[in-house]
Amino acid sequence: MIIIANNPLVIDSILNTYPVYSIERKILQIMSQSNSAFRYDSVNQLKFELRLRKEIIRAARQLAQSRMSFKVFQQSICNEDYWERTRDGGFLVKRGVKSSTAINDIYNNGYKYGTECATAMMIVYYKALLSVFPENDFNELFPRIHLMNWHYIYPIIEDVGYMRNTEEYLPGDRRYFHNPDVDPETIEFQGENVIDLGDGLYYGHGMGIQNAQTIIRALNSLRMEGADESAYLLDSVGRPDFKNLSDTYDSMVLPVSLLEAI
Amino acid sequence: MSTNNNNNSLSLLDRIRINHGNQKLREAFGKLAGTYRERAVKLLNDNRILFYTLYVLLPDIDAYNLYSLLNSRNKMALKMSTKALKDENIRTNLNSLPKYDNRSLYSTLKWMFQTGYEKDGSDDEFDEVLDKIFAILVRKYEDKTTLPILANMIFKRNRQDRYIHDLVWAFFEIKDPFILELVADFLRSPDDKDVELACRLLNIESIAMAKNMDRYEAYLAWFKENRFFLHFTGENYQLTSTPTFYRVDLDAKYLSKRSVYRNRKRIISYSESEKSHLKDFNELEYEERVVLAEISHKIHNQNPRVWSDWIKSPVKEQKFIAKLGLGGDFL
Repeated sequence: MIIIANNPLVIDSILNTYPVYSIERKILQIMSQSNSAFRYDSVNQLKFELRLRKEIIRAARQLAQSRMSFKVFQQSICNEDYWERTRDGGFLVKRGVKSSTAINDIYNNGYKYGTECATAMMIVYYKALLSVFPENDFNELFPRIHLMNWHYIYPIIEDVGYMRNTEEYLPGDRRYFHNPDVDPETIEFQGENVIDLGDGLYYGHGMGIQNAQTIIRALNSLRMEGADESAYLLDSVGRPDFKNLSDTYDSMVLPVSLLEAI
Repeated sequence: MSTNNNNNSLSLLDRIRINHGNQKLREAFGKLAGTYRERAVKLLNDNRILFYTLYVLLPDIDAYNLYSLLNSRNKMALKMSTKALKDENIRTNLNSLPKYDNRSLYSTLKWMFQTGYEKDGSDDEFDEVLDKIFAILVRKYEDKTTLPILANMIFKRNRQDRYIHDLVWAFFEIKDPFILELVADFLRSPDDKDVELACRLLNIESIAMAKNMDRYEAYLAWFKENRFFLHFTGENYQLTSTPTFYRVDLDAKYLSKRSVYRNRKRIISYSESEKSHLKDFNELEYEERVVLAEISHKIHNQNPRVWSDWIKSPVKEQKFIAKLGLGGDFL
């Protein structure tokens, strides 16, 4: 169920503001039919989450098409016009370059980049936020992005690096396929970070867009000799703090809109 | 365990590298291989050669196509390095070598490790080779002898802001809580980066530290109390920014039974009465379970006979006794 300011929400009113087969509708239906309570301070906060989830999914699908290659950290590559490759294999936005430009370049010139699955998730989140926040605000929030799996994340989105238990899985969630018996010769396949795209499909960098069975089969084929435990999808999720981001958005973006209206 | 740098026990090629550097070694070897091929191969196949020297000469071994003349250990070592190499041609040539013999893989890996680890940090490719060697030694051969060196490497790399996540993964994959003591040693390091990393690897902020004890002493006390109940979670840096590598199995601690898991399942079965105790215990809030498990363990350590009566009492009563024992502070 969805609770807005301590009152249960009848979703019909809001449902009709989205197209019939839209992802927002699907998310609303899952939330409203759930036994768990999804609590918001306002309808706007809920709508912000729906929008950001939709953009996360869009950014994941676009990254799947970007030609960015799969590379372990020791072999990671980036476009050095915009990024500096750090000693640990991460990418740090070069001084004098806007974070928005650097993130967009990954999507425009994907073939110049190569990294592993967790860093790809961070790229997805930043791209999604760039689609939601006006560019200047995005650059103010994230003046110098450092991409390196779940490290060096700006506090406002650091929650994506934590996994938490949940009773409900929603499109746009970060999930993880764990491969406990991975062949140590291919350590990078100890697991696969993915974005839940809805419809039983997941995007994982290196795997592309696949269903769970295909990802598990692929990971199982990379297990060590004598392995007896299958790869599996963890029951926890990673999510940004949507409410905090929504409040930040309101505090940054609305005043300008109001100003324009005046 | 360290590379023996005593010049008398080193091969000629090692001596050239150590005394004159990688470039001079390659030049000298190139000249030799171009004119006295067999002599060059003989030097490579010297049993005393260090793995790092062989690795440095790989481009020249490739250029003079000496692969087939190498002894099986050297072939295997170079083939093991293939995946980390950026040079496509060398990778293709190494891939065409016959698959290595699994029976001698372990001794080759040990040699690669023993005569290579000191050169960690030479370049990204060599670091990746080392990561892989450690991962296989620990994961496949459950070799614990490498772990103290592995711990040192992790902290050394961290001090230099280099990549540590695969080494950390390999280190914890031994799935034996004793390694936490190796990490705890770094809590006493004068380097803040060591202490910070040790705290992260030990999840130290989640451990209630006794007052008036330093961090190291407090951790060891915590470890001593919980070591038999620690359960490896399998979490890693690919999954989360804050992996919890070990958790206390509260059920096991409450019943004072060692925690043994296999494939996510506890493999020690509980009796019907134990299951019944656990049923009520697991209805408590998490914080209550933490405290009651601790009390149970203390009573068990002090007097197992008293404990066997105590554990049979209703959980409500156990809580009451615990509260009395703690001067009313509990729950």
